[in-house]
Amino acid sequence: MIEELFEIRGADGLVRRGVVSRPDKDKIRSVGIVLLPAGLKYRVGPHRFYVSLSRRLAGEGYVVLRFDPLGMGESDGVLQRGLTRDLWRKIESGGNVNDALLACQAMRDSFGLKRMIAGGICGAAITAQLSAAKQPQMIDGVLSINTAVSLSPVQKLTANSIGSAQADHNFHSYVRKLVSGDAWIRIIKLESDFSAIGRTLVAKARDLMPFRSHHAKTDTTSENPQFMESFYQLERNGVKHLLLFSGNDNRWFEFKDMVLERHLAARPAGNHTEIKVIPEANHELQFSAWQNDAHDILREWLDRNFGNVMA
Amino acid sequence: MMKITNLLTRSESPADREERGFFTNRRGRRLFYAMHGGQSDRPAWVFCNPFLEEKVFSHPVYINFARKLSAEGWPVLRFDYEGDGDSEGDYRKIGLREWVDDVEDAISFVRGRHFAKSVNLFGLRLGASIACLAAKKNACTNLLLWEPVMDGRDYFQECLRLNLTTQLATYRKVVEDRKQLMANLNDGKTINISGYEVDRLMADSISSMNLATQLDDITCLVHIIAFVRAGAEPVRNDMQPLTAGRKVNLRVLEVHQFWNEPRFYDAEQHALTALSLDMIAAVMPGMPVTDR
Repeated sequence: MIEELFEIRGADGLVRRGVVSRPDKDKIRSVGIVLLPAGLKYRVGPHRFYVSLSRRLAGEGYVVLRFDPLGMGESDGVLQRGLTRDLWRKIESGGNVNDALLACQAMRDSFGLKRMIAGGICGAAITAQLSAAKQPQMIDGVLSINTAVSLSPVQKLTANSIGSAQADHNFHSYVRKLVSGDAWIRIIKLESDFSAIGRTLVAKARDLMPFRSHHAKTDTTSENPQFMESFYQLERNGVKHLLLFSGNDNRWFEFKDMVLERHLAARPAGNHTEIKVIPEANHELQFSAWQNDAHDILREWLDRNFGNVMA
Repeated sequence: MMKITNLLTRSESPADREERGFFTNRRGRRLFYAMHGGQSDRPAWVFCNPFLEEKVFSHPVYINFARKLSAEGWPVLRFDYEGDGDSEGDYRKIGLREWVDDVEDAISFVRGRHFAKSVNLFGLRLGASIACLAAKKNACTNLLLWEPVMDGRDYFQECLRLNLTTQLATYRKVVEDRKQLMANLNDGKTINISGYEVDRLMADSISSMNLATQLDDITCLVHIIAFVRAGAEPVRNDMQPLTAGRKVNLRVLEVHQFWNEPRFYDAEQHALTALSLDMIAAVMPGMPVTDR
């Protein structure tokens, strides 16, 4: 495995940078993977997950770029000063799409790759999905880890912003805590998240109302208006899409509420779309066992869909 | 579709030359580096990164501070320790002694490759502690410390709390308490802190650190900027004793915790950067304090 710097100068004269991990020459496949930033975390990813993942995948024959769009990591430019959630929202709305496509093109050109995959965690996943929808000829596969179906809120969360799946999850957790001495101590010390408890109880009560329709159970205003259209577009264009979720992550509850229940109504997601869940894992896959599970699922998906594309 | 430039506050290429690559440390590992600026009569800065996710969150501030220093005529070397960032290696086999060796190797690199005649060291939080440890072994002109870790034992306990928080969020209860986590370390196992597997070598080396003791053996000028939260009194009584009998210049500034999952993103940190430059300018002959 070889690692080297990778630089792309755009038509605007600005340089985007990353690090590419390449397999030894005898092992090389003609498949490239671009890992995009998870929200505002630069190319190494949360807890350096992208570094270990790209090295493992390079060991299996893939050419992997961990990439910084403009204003992030080592690339030129400075992101606007402001609320973090406003920057997340811009990313979720496609702010990094052009740079993601530029990186995929540069990878194809530099290494003569026949297939390209883009993806990563959260903001990276929605960026990859929007990029592949925009230019399906550029991206053959999307790896979505805990993708963002909704846009980050511009203001304080309300009860309606909690979907049924998340309300159920939170409610069962609170019920279990009723027998926990530590939990009661936190309540007495006013250390509990009363806002979340309140929103959960209101959401639970809302769901129990018999006259409420299925669709009214969750707030639709937070849904990313580009999500479903780009989701269907990938399927229509035959772009392979692996959606990998953590069982303990709000992104999974949100996906269940907003996509599986509301839009797909328990229908299969499609011939090119696969959904996998790692039970108990959290948003950033912090524990090593979850990282290993994610790698195993990804490797199997890659082998099945792109394993025979050799240089 | 939104244009990428909508995300940027500045979109020019840095005026100064920037070079990136890998250098090899004494243990044969390739370490990622970024050099801002080239040969200069001024001392070169070597930046020491903070620990775990604090490094990831503070990366934008580090790179912008490096570009600011470089624009003012100082060469700057940023690099990733072994097992961290884009460098080779694994956290599981690393302690602070190895990282201090990496700082020494970075100093040798900047002296050899960029002909730096003298060196300044900079660090945030645990990076400040590492800079202090390196300054004890290497002649340097200035040491700039942002919110340094005062007591390694307390700091490592904060790290353990991160593990407990993850357990609570995952299992709704603490499966392994602090005592058990420490027992795991003593049994040669690793513990997970914010996604990183840390072993006893690192735990012990952090826990044994004390800033006051470290400063006792340092002969260069030390500039400390201690942070307070917005609206708080600009006083840090815990750090005041550090100035007694030592060449320590302490200033206090209102700064939000940009290294700790900030709700407000500010890569440029104008006030912090300006104060840092002024503190250094005040002791550097021939360098005016600028109107920043």
